[in-house]
Amino acid sequence: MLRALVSALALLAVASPALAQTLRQSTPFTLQSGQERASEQTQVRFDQADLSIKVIPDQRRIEGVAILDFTAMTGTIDRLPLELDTVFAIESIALDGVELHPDDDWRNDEGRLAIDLGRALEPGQSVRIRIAYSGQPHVAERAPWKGGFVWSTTPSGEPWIATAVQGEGCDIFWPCIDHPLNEPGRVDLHITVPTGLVAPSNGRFLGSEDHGDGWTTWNWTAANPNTYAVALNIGPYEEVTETYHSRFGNSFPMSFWHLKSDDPAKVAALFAEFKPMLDFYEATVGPFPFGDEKMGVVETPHLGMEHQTINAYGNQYRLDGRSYDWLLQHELAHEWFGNQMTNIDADDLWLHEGLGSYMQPLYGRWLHGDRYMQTELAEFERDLVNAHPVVSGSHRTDTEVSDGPGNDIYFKGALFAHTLRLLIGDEAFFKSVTTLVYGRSDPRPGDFTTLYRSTQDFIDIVNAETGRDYGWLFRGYLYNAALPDLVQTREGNRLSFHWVTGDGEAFPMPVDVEIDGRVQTVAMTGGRGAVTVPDGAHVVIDPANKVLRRLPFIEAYRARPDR
Amino acid sequence: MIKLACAASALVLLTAAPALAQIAPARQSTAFTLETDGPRTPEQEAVRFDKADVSIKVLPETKSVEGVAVLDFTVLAPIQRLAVELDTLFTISEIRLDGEVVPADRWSNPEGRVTVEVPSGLATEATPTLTISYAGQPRTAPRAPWNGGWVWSTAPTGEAWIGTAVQLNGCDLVWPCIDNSHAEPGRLDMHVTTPGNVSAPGPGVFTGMTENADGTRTWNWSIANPNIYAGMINVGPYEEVTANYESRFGNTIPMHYWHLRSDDPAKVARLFAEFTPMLDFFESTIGPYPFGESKMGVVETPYLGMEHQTINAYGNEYRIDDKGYDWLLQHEFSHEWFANQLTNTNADHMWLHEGLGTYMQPLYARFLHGEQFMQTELKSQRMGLVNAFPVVSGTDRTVNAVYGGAEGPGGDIYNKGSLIAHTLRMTIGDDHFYEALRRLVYGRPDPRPGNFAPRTASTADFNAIVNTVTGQDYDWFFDVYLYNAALPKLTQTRTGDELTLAWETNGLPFPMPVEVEVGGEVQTLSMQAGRGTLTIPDDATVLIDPQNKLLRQLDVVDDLQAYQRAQRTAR
Repeated sequence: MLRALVSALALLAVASPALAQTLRQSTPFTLQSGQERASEQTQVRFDQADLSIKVIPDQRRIEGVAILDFTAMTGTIDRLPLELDTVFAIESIALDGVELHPDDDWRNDEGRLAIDLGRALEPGQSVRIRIAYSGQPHVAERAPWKGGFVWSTTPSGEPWIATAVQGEGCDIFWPCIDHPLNEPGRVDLHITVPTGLVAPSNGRFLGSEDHGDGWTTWNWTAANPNTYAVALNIGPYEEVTETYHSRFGNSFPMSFWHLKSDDPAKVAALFAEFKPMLDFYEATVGPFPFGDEKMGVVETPHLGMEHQTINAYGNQYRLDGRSYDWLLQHELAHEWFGNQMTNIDADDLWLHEGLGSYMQPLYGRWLHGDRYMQTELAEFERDLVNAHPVVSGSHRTDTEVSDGPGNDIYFKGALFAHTLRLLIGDEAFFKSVTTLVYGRSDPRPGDFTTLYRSTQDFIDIVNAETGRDYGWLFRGYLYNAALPDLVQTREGNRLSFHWVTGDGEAFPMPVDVEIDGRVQTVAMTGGRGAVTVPDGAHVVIDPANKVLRRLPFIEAYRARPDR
Repeated sequence: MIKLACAASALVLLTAAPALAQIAPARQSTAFTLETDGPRTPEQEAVRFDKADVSIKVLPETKSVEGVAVLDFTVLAPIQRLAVELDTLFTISEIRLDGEVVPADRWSNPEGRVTVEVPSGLATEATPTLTISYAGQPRTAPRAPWNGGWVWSTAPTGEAWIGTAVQLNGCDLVWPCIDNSHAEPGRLDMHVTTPGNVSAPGPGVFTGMTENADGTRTWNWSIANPNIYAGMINVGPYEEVTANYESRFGNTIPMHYWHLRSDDPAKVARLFAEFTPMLDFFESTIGPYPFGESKMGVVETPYLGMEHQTINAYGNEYRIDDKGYDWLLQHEFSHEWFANQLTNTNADHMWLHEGLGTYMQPLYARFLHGEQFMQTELKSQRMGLVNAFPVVSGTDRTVNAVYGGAEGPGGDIYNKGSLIAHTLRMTIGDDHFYEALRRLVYGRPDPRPGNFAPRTASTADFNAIVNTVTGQDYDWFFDVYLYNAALPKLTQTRTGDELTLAWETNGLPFPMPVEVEVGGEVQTLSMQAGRGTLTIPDDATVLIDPQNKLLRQLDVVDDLQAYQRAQRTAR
C-alpha cells in the first residue's frame, strides 16, 4: 500500500464518492487482516480458488460463487474454518458436490466461516468447497487506507468500481483464509459486469463472453496471488499494451487500462514510464516475477494498491518533480516486495514497504543522478517519527502495524536499506535483496516461485552474504524506536564519538569524518572512536550522509511551533 | 536582498507587514527617485565622494524626519555644478556650499536630482562641502524589502519600530547621496535622533549616544565605504547580545545582535548561536570577514531582511525550516562578501551578489550536514529557473530592470547564478574555484585583515579572473551560462551500441566535459567541439552526469513547470 500522510490523500478524500450505507456492518474480526489462524488453517494448502463474481453497480451488490480446493498437509483435520464477511448472505455451501446444511454443517459467526468437513481429511487428501453468496459488500471509507469496495462514477457517467482490501483482507469479497501465508496456488476469476464495461484483473486474460442479456463475463487466471492482491476493477476502460523484451530473454505484455475520457497525451506519458521502470527493477532486483502473465496497471478511483499483475493507479497523472510517477513506481515495487516475496507476518511489513520505498531514491538516481536520490532520502528523513520500532519481533496485524510504527515502515525502512547498502557495499546488498526476494541470488524466469520471508530471514541472508554478523545493525535500527545517536565530545584536539542506541546494545557502525576536506573512516569498534582535529579545522561528520542517525536539526524542524 | 519568488517568504512578509501609512503623502516619489543605479551626470562622475555626515531626527508620531547632510567631495575634473539625488518628498530648507548659503535660484530639485550651480566653477582637487537641510514625510515602503522605503511599525511592547530598506530604490529615499553603486562615500557618519524609549543600531562603529535636553537620544555611528543602500535607520526597543569572534586570521570581531526586547530569549540565543558557525564557514570558504574592524552586526527589522553592511536586517522571526540553519540570516550575511565587500559595477552584474551569495546556502548545508543537504538545496533551486532572459545583458541596467521578470532575469540571478557557480566549481575544481572567488571578492588571492578594501567588479572581471587562475579560456562558459538565456541542452543519439552526446547552445562553442556512468563505471567525455561518442555494451545502464555537476536543460524540470502552469491555469 502507500503511506498515509501524503498530501495527495486529502485530495483523494475530497474526490471519493459519496458512500452508501450497507444494511449490515462488517465485524471487527472481518475488518482485520493477518490475525492468528485457526490451527486447521495452518495445516492446509490452498490449491486453487475459482471465483465467479457478478457485480451489479445499480444495487452496489455482488453475487458470488467460489469453488475452493484445499489439501491437508501437516495433519488430519475434520473442520476447515474460512473467512467471509457476514454482510453476505450465504445461499449454499457444498462439499465435494454435496450440499451442506446451514447451522448443522456450517456457521458464519463474526466472519469466521466454520465448515464441518464431515470426515477426517488426512494429509494428502483434498476437498473442494463451493460457496454461493451475495450481498452488498463493505464500502471503503477511505480507500486504500480504509478499504473495501469503491463505487464511483467516471467523468463520462459510467460506473467505475474497484476493490482495495489490504488492511481488511480478501474476506471482504470472497471466501478465503485471510492470512498472508495462505495464498492460493491459483485463482481463476470470472467477473460478470454490465456489457460495455471492462473488468481487467489479475493474471492472464482468458477471454470475455457477452451473454447477450446485458451482461458480459471477463475471465482471468493468476498463479500464487497475494491474498489481498485479488482485485476487481470495472470501468469504461481502454487498454494500451506493448510487449516488454526482458534482459532475461523472456517477453511479456505491459498493459494499462485507463478511462476512455483520459487525455491521450497523459496516458502516453505514463505508459512510456512502464519500460524504464521494468528496466530498473529487472537490473536492480531481478526478473519481473510474473512474466508468464503480464505487467498490468489499471486506473482506479482510489490512489493506488499493489494488486499483483493489475496494479491500481489513481495518481491522476500528477507530476511532482521526481521525474517519474511515484505512485506507479511504488506499486510496481510491490510486485517484487509484497507479491513475489511476501512477509510472513505484518510485523515484517517493512520488507514490502521499506525496501519497496527505497526503490524510489534508487530510481531517482537511475534516471537522473545522485542529486535526485539524495533529495528523496532527505524527504524521507524529515518524515520519521521514531515512536515505535519498525519490527516488534512478535505477531502483529496490519492495523497494529499502522497504529504502531505507521509510516516509519516506509521511510525508516528505506533509509535503513540505504544505510545497509552503503555499509556492506552494492554487491552484497543487491545480492542479499535478490536472495530475499527469489530465494536465490541468480533468479531467471521459470526458476523461482513466490515465497514468504521474515526480517530474521533477511538478517540471515545478509550475514551469509557478507560472512559477518549484522544482527546489531538490524537491532539498532529496526527493533528500537529511537534512531542511533552519534554523541560527540571534544577535548582539546581530540574529538571522540560514541553510539547510543535505544536499548544500549553494541553498535559498531563505522563513520566517515571529513576534516578540512579530507575524509577518514572511524571504525567505531565497540561503538566508540576518536579523531584528532587540528586547531581551526572544520569537521563534517558523515559527509556523504551514509548513516541514518539522529539529527537534532531535523527533530527541531519536526517539532517547530508553526507546523 | 532576498528573492521574491520564494512564495512562503512573500506570504509571511505580507501577513506580517505593518499597516501601511494610512495618510498617503500628498506627493509621490518621482519615477527617477524610485530607480537606483541609473547613469551619473558628468558632474557626478567628476567628483570623489569622500565623506557624508548625516544627522537624522526620526519622528515616529508624524512618520516624518528632519535631516542635515554634510557631504564632502574632491573634484577630479573641473565642473560648474554639483549634483546629488534626494527624494522630492523632502522639503529642502537650505543648502550651503562650503558654509555659505546657496541662493534659492542657484539650486533646484525638480525630479529628485538636486543640482547646485557653482558659477565660479570648481577646479580639480577642490574639496567642496555641500550641506543640505531637509525634512518631510519620506516614502513609506509598499512592500519592503522588494518595494522599498521606510517601514513604520510598532513593536509588540508598543514602542516605535522603524527601518529603511531601499536597495531597489536607492539611498535618496533617506539622505542626499549619489544614487549609483560607483559613488559609495569613503566614510559615512550617522547621527540618528530617536525618542528616549528606543535605540538606533547603525552601520559601522558605534561612536556614542548622547541624551538630549528634550528627552530624545542621538545615536552616533561611523562606517567606511558603505554600500549606497546600507542600513541607515533601525529604530526600536532593542536589547543587544554580543560576543567576540576569534577569527582564524588572528583578529577579533565583535558580534552584535539587536533584537526586540519582547523576543523569546531561547529563540534569541538560538539565532545568536548561529553567528559563529556562519562566520567560520564564510571565513574558511571565502576569506576574512571584510568589516572586522567595525563589527558583525544584525538587527531585527519589521521587514524580512536586507544586506545592510555590518547591520544586516533580520526579520525572519526565528522560523525553523528543514535546512538546519536560518536561511535569511545566512543569505544576508553572505552579502557582506558578495555585495558589500565586492560590489557589482552595475546592477547588470547583480548575480555576483545574489547568485554567488545564494550558492553559499547549499555550500553551508554541506558544511554543516553533508552532501545530501547541499544536493537538496541545489535541486530546489533548479526547479524554479525561468531562463527567459540572460542573467547578464552586457549593458548597464537599473536594479528594477534586472529584477523585473518582464524585462530582466528576475529570480534567475539568485538560483541560476547559484547553479552556475556550482557548475563552475565542478568544472574547474575546488582550488581554482575558491581562488577565483577570493580574487573576485578581495582583489587578491591572499586576503588578510587590513590588506584589502571594498571593491567593485563585473562579470567580465570574474571571467578574466577565472581565465587567469585556471590558465585556460573559460569565455565559452560565461558566454553560454550568463550571456545566453537558454540553458545548454545535451542531446543524445543512439546508433547501435554507439551513444553520441552533443551540446546545443544556440551555436555558441561549449566544450563542456560530461561524465557518463556506463554499467556503474564513470568515464569523462571531453566534448571537444561540443560533441562526444562512446560505446555502450548491450543492456548496460547509462547515466549522464551521475553527480549532477552540470546545469543543463532537463525535460523533467520543463515538464514539471509546464504541468504546474497548466494546474494554475485550471484553478
